Amino acid sequence: MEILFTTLGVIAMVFIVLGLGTWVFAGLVTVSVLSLLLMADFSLHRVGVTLSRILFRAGSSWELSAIPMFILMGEMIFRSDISERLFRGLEPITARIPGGILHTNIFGCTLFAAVSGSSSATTATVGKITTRELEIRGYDRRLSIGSLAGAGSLGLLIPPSIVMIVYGVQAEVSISKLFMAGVLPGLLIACLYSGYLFYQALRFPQKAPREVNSKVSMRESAALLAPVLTLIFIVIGSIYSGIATPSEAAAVGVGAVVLMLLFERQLSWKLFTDAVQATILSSVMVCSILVCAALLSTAVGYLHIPRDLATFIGSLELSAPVLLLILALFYVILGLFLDGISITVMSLPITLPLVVQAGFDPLWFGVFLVIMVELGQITPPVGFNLFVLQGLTGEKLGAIALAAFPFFILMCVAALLISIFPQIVLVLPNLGG
Amino acid sequence: ATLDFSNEYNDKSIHAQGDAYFIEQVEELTGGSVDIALHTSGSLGFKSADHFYAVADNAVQIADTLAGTIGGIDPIFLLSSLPFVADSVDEAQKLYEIARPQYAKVFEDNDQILLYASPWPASGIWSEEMVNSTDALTNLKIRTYDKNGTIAFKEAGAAPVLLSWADVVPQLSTGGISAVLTSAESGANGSFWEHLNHYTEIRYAVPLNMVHMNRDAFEDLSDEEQAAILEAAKRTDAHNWETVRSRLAENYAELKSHDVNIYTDVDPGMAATLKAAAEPAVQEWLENTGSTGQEILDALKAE
Amino acid sequence: MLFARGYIGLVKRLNQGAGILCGTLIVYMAAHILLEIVLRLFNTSTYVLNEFIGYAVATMTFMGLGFALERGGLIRVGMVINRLSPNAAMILDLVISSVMCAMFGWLSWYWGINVSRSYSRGITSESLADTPLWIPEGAVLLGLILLCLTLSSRVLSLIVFRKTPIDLEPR
Ligand code: NA
Ligand code: NA
Repeated sequence: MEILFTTLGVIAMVFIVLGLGTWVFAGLVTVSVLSLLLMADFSLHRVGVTLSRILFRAGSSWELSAIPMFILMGEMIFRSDISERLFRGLEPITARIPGGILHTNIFGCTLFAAVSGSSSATTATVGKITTRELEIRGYDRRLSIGSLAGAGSLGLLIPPSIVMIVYGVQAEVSISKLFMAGVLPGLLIACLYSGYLFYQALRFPQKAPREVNSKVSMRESAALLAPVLTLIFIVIGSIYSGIATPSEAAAVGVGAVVLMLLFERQLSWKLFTDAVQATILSSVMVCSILVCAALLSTAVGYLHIPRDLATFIGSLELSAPVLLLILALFYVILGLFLDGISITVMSLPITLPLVVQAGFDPLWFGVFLVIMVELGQITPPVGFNLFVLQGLTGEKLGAIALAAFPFFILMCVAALLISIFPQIVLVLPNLGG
Repeated sequence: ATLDFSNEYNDKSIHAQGDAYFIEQVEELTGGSVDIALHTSGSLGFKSADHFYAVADNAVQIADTLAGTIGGIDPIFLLSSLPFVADSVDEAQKLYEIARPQYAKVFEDNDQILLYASPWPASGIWSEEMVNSTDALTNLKIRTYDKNGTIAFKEAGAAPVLLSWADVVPQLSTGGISAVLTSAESGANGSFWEHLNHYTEIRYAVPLNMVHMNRDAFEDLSDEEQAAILEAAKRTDAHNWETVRSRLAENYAELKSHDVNIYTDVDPGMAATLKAAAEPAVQEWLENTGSTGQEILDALKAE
Repeated sequence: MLFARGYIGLVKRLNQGAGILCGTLIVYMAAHILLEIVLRLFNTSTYVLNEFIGYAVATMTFMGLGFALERGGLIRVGMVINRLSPNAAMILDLVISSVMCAMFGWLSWYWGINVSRSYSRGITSESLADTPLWIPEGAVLLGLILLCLTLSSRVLSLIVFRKTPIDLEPR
């Protein structure tokens, strides 16, 4: 019971400190300091030496470099005419589909997820390119932001995925099989999202005005789409040919955009420096939040919150379906204020044996867990996709969270579907024997 | 109060299991009056390289640290990862017993006490094609895990690649690398047999993890509790050296069940090439440690 | 008044410099990763990619904090602050900025102790570069100090001019 009190205490502090208007990165540090001082009985000295060291450690992890790289790639595309060509090229296709180019958010994120292992990078890059165009074309802002938030988190489910690697190493489950297992559920979620956009567009046509009188022919469309398709092909190709690791692919994207703009004589010094300056602002915002969230994870680790909660769940001796339901709730609660990797490493030593004992396949559970973690990306107060979108659009955090809510529900539906039909997860990895 | 114990490895790893054994022993010896919370998989946010000063500053009270990662604090910690110095667990244990006072002293000078060691199973070469000749080493894209390995394999004509552990499997599946220098155990944990079918037991090194405790936290305990901690550490030390021996047989059985070819007879030519290639690393270490290093190696030879 | 203007101007200059450094680091990251990929095709490597990129990311993140804060690039939740009267909002901002300045100052103090230990003991990373750790650690420390300076200049500006530094500039 005491652990429930502690958990609620931390969540309440996050709500209050962030709600008062503290910058998010600083608020996360504040809550970490307060949690350690007030709830873990640390001395001021111990808090200082602990958190300052974590600040450096979390900041100097090289995987973070994918964020500035992908953001720079997006900024350069945004500032050249590649993005505008992309949307004109899509007109003949999207004009026929209810929802129109809103689907580019879903489709773009799904494709981009095959390149990027993180959800923040996916949301930031695709969002940079699509939000302005969608607004110009009069699409409903709420649907546009919500679909980005939801689809952006596919970066974790569709390989490559950092969370899956962490799960695979911890649970000693084959990472290659996990990657395969994520593909169909990822596509399932993308389809659910697109289906929702269809429904909304048919029900409320004003939310998704279609450009029925587009004069772009199919042939012109192919030419307009060529630059973006080439870029995606180069980046995905660099990963699957083994030339670059998933963490390096972002820099390949930057290199490819620079070459393409040089080739098309679009690369001016101004375009480049503007893109870099915008990249500094966005990536400092995203990276600093990710780094400071690591401090909160450390504090929560010292408070033993995930461990004690999971132990408590284990002591209930629940039946398999109820256990799964309670674990889902447990992960959604942790997802309110923790990042996915921390949730995974802190809870698994206790939850995995429970799950295996209840008869679930660890491979299947990995995918289930990733979906749970994706949910946490779009729930306030600490939801990384929400923060990225706030930075991109300047909307209020609450409004973004509300816009993302239908997509949160759809993702829960996907989790339910893979629980009823585990084959959705297992069929691909089992093909390979 | 609870003592926090940080460890970078997952809870099924040989190190985490050794640490769990230690905690059990402490619990048994003190009747539960000392509470130790083990945080596996680096879940407190510390990496091995952070542990030395995290424990010195009492940010955590106990930590399980890969010795090689703190070689920049004192070169003595590189001893166990020197290539081809100790080529069996027996040798590695002897080397540890010879050098233990030196290790303990560095911890002592930094407000810590050395509790016990946790040895790794010996590192070998996991590879796509059989690697058991000098020629096979040429331009071999092999993932190495530390500075000495990188230098040695570069000298031997291979193309060592530095990758984070997380990137290893993706790179194996796409062919970015074709070999990995690591233990049979680590490869098994990563299901390497999905990509690599050969394991050559080159007996490269038996790296050590060190488990160390903050001295103030230790002295805050009662005399009986302190004695219990030391006794538990002694038991765990013995237990870990036993486990690493039995673990190898288990690992090999697992590898065989996944059709991995194991080569225990290393081609003498390749062994000589690698040993010669490793010599600069050993020399550099001797220069950095001065007479202490030489005395340790001499004592090992004398046994 | 004059002092306040001078101090605010100085911090602004420092942040401009830090911004240039961050931009350079971003370009450096792309270049180093691409170089590494090319070298690997020729069976060689810089052998320090992960390490140096890690330092670059850390430096960019912390050095850029002041720069981004000044330009309103760091997000905050407007739930309460947007509903207050301008005067009350300014006072709340003043309180938050002061508390954050104190907190990051306090954390920098502890980090500073660590950096000076790394420096005086000559601690290096365990890699082919044997990087003296005080350099990347010191860069993060400088970033934290710059953040504190930026926050203090914001506090000063709010007290003296009742405006944030960015609003002081003529439009
Ligand atoms: Na992905
Ligand atoms: Na959340």
